[in-house]
Amino acid sequence: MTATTIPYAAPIELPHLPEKVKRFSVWQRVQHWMLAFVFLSLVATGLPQKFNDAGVSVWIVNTLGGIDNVRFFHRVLAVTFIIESALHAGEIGVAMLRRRFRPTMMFTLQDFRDAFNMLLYSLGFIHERPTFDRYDYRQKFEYWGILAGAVIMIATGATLWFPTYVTKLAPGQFIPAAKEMHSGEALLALLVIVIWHFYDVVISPAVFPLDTAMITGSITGERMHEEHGREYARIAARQASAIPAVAMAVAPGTPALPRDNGREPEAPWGGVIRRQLHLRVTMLVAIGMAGVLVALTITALFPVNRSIDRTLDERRSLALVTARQADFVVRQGMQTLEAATTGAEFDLRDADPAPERSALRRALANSVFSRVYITDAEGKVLWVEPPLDPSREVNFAAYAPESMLVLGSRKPSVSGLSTSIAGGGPIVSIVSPVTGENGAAIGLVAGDIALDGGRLAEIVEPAALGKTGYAQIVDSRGNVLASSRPGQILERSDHEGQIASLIQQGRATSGTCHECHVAAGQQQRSTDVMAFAPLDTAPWAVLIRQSEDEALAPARTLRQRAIMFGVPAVLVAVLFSWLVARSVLRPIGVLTTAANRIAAGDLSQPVPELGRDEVGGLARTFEAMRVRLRQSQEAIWSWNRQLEDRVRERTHELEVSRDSLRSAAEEKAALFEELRRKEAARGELLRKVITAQEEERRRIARELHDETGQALSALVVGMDAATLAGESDMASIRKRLVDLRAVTVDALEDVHRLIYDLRPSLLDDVGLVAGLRWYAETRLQSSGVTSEVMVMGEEKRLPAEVETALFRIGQEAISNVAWHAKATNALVTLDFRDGGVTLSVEDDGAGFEVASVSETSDQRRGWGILGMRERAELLGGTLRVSSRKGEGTTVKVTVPLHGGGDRDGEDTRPHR
Amino acid sequence: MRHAFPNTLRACWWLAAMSAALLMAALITLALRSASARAEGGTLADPNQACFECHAGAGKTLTFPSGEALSMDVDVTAYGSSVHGARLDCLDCHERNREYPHPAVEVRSRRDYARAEYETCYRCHFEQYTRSLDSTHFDAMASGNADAAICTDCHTAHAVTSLKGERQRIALTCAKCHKDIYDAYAQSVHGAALAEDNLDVPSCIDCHGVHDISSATTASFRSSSVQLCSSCHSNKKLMSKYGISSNVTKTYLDDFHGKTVGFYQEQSPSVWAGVAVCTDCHGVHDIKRPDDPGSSVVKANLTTTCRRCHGDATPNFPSAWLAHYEPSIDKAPIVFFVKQYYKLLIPLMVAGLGLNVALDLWRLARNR
Repeated sequence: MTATTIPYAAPIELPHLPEKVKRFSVWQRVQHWMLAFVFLSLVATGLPQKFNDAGVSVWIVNTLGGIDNVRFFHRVLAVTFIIESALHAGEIGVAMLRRRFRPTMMFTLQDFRDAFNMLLYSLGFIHERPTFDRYDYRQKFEYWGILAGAVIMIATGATLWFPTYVTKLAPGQFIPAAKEMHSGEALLALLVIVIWHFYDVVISPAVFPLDTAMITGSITGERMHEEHGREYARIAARQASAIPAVAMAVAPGTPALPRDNGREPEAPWGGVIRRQLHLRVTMLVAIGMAGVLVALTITALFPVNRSIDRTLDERRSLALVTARQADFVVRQGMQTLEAATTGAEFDLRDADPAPERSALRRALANSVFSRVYITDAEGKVLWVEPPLDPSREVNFAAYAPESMLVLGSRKPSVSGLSTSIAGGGPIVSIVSPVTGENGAAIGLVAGDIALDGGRLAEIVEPAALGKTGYAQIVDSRGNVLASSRPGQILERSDHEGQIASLIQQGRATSGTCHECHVAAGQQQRSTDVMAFAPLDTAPWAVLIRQSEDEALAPARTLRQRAIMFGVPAVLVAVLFSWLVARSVLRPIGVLTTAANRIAAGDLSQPVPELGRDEVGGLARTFEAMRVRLRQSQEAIWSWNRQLEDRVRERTHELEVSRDSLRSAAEEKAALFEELRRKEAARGELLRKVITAQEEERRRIARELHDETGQALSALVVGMDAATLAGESDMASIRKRLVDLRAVTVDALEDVHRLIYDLRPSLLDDVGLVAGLRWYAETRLQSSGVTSEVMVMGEEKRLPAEVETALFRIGQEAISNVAWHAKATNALVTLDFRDGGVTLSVEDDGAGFEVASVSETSDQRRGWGILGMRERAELLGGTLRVSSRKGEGTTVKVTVPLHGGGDRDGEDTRPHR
Repeated sequence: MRHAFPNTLRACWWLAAMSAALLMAALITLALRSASARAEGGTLADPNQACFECHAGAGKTLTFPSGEALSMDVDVTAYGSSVHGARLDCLDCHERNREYPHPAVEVRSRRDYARAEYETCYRCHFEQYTRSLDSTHFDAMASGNADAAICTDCHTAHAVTSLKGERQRIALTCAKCHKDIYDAYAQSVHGAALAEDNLDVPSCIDCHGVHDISSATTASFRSSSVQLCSSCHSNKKLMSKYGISSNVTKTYLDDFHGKTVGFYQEQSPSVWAGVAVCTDCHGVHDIKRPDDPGSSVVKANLTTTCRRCHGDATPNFPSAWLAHYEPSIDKAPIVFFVKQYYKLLIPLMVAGLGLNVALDLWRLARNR
């Protein structure tokens, strides 16, 4: 039973699609994944250098520990890439040298036809999808793209790596050109890979979620047949001789049932997802729902961001309102001071201090000032309210030098931060000029606003929001003049420079900032929402700050909730999709179990009822199919049984006939053997007969010569003598005649004897019994054996050939007795009873072992017996010789007589 | 002190850059204003007469233990015309000499005397004083260099005048100590223009700052020097006035050196950027016009300049740098065509592949 004897029908089509076809060797797969890793890593370390402004680029570079590290990795990867490329090229070279190279990646005219056909197919002009060889035109395009890309990238990359070496030979412009080429080609390669390769091996519905060919190294025969039909046909044709082995593996397994309970054994994890509807439905629904959710979340985040913007706007408005309020207070202070100097009696030059004092008192009352005073043009303080130690001369200019500028500008202004002239606390002063009659400034009237008095803080207090919020008035140098938090007064604001510029611009703004300088020791940086509004009347600004966490809490909460709800919603979506998939697939699972059971041959259990939907319909169809299958199975079984019975019968018959044939053959063989022996014996006998004839003739000739010839010669001589004696001698003639007569009688007796020897004419005359008796007496008596002949039954004449045969047999037997038996008595019996004739010759002689004579191979012996048997059998009779040493011998011959005694009278032989 | 407005993420870069520029502009204007305000001060009746009896031309000197002598005469005229002359009395600063005879001077040298006395400035000018604490001069002083500049070294003790707008004078002030740097600067394109009273060019403080003069040898100063130069050289209006390209920063940042510096700034400004910044090629104080034969970036000198970093650079090498030009048919045809080629090929390829994928999907959908 060799495989090759199985006929192979069609060499192009495999009889069975093999489950798996090897597509990539381990080495090819290793190369692929190494290339993938190196390529993506090169992109990840390379493109950030091209798109250096992108946030993700900065992130990548910082994560990898800086641009120098990135470049180092890029170069290490580049060297790896070069080694891989060289290996690939070397592999091809070696394959070419060994003449093993198969140009499967070469573009051929067929590829352009394929591409065109694919286009036609996609557009629906042709209906059969083109099939391809080992690699289709897209794979070839990708391969050559990568190959060309690799050459470009390696060349330009080396140029960029060693620019000074390159420029030893090439023009310098090559370097920036190489740079453009390097980045352009990289981008191109990435886009090709992302758009095409990822589509082909990941996203395409045909392979989603992953084409595992590059992991397992093999694809299904079905897919190979579909996509790489030409290669498939080629392999099939080449393996035509080897294929039956595959067919054999499938064919003898009689039930073509799927193994392992219906699950194909080949299925690494990639296949599981593709093959399991459940996972697929779950994934697709989850992706869909997650996409919607993400889109919703993103759209929801836009209003959140807008609300943050609005919050910031409102902050700015609040800052502006507060600034206006502060403006109002300052302006009021200025007006109070101005009003104080406009009294009718108010004159710095006169000696009467009363009006001035009262004016100051008025100004002090109902104002923000903690102290008011009037100075002369040099800044010497003339009057102070509340009063100071009069002995102390105070020059205002020493405290707020820039305030003296008011003298020139003649406009009220606000001084910077200074200390009180009364010593101690920090103040700011509002200074207004006092004009003389000629309109020139002759002095100043100033009011101090004590910063620790809380008057300014009152203005900003309402603007402090929430727990972390506070409001400040700061001057252009960043000094905090007032704050809703008392402790902050005179601190340096952490944004002094910025505040100065913003005050300069007179622009209200808002935003967030890091409170980074507050605590240099502590590294924690909290983000604040800051609103800023400058004052019109002073180089001050209102600053409202609040921790971002608190200020933007509603929006933040909303955003967090969007995420908090989003994540569970995605989970719910996944759960929901899982449940949907389950509800659909559970009945399918039940059906699959039932179908598996049927496939395994168990048709006894009915397919469960699964409702009235489509799956239920399928289940009913299954059930109907099962019933039909069962019926036909039972019919087949009954046929089988009948067939078996018939086969059993026929087998029995065959066995019987075989046995009979065998025994017949054995018999035949024995017969043949006997025949052969007899044939040989007969041949011998024939020779013997001929020899005996010759012998007999010689004997007759001798007898005739010795006896009859002598006698006739004696007669001739006697007659001659008588003739010569003449007439005278009648007496002697007579005497002589008498002698002659005696000689003639002797001769005649001799002739008689001779004739008797030749044929026992006895038989013809006296019959068989008398003949045998005569022969026995004459033959045996001379040997000293007493013989007796007995006749049983009624003696009758037998056909001549029977009588002759019996006589000859008897003669032989008697002769044997005389020759061999050394017997004293012999009994010859003739039995005419029982419709046949039986002759038996018994003696009481020495006897012999019959077997040693009749079955001996010595042809010299046993001829007598053989001759006797021969004669008997020619007449259809049997001869039996029974003898044993020392027990005498019996020869018994029985000859059937056809027609019985009726033929007695028909003996046509002449009787003598 | 970068200011971020993260609610509009994209704008944050712009705002950062703009606020930096605004800040600088604001500082300058503020300084200008307050200076002019001070100039308008009135004359002072002379309360210092008593002081001047001894200190105006009496020829007294103070001899320190170190042997140095300090003239006790004050240039009254100079003081009178100084910014303080109209406002401050002698005792406002020399407070400890209120009594007569004056307390003994207990310092060892003339320099120590100056260092002891200059602290009086901060009583009024505490803002400038505190800033100066962040300066490299203060650092030098703190590390024991007695000659490190203090207020009076730049502003003088008595003849303090406003330096607002006096760029040439500012430069000369710095030159008192940094002579060789000033000489180089004076030869430079900036210094030469400043000598012609061109106010568009930077003087010392425009780059180094005023009171908080930071060290110019730190890595972060080096990295940020690109932005420093760019603050003027990216100003289109200003540059067009002199026919200079305002594209230099962009072309620099798009190239290998600039990108590297950019990444250094992003990652660790304190790490010394080992690639060329503006000053490495153009020079620091001795910046010349690029077509000046003495310039380090004129063609003839460029190879030498490149060799400072690229030791084995050949005469071909400098042309690898496109000299702040965008590649064009005239300037760098090969680069230009390569760039155009990919500009054309990439969209074509993407469109083609996308179409292919779309067709494939369409066919699959139809077959379903």
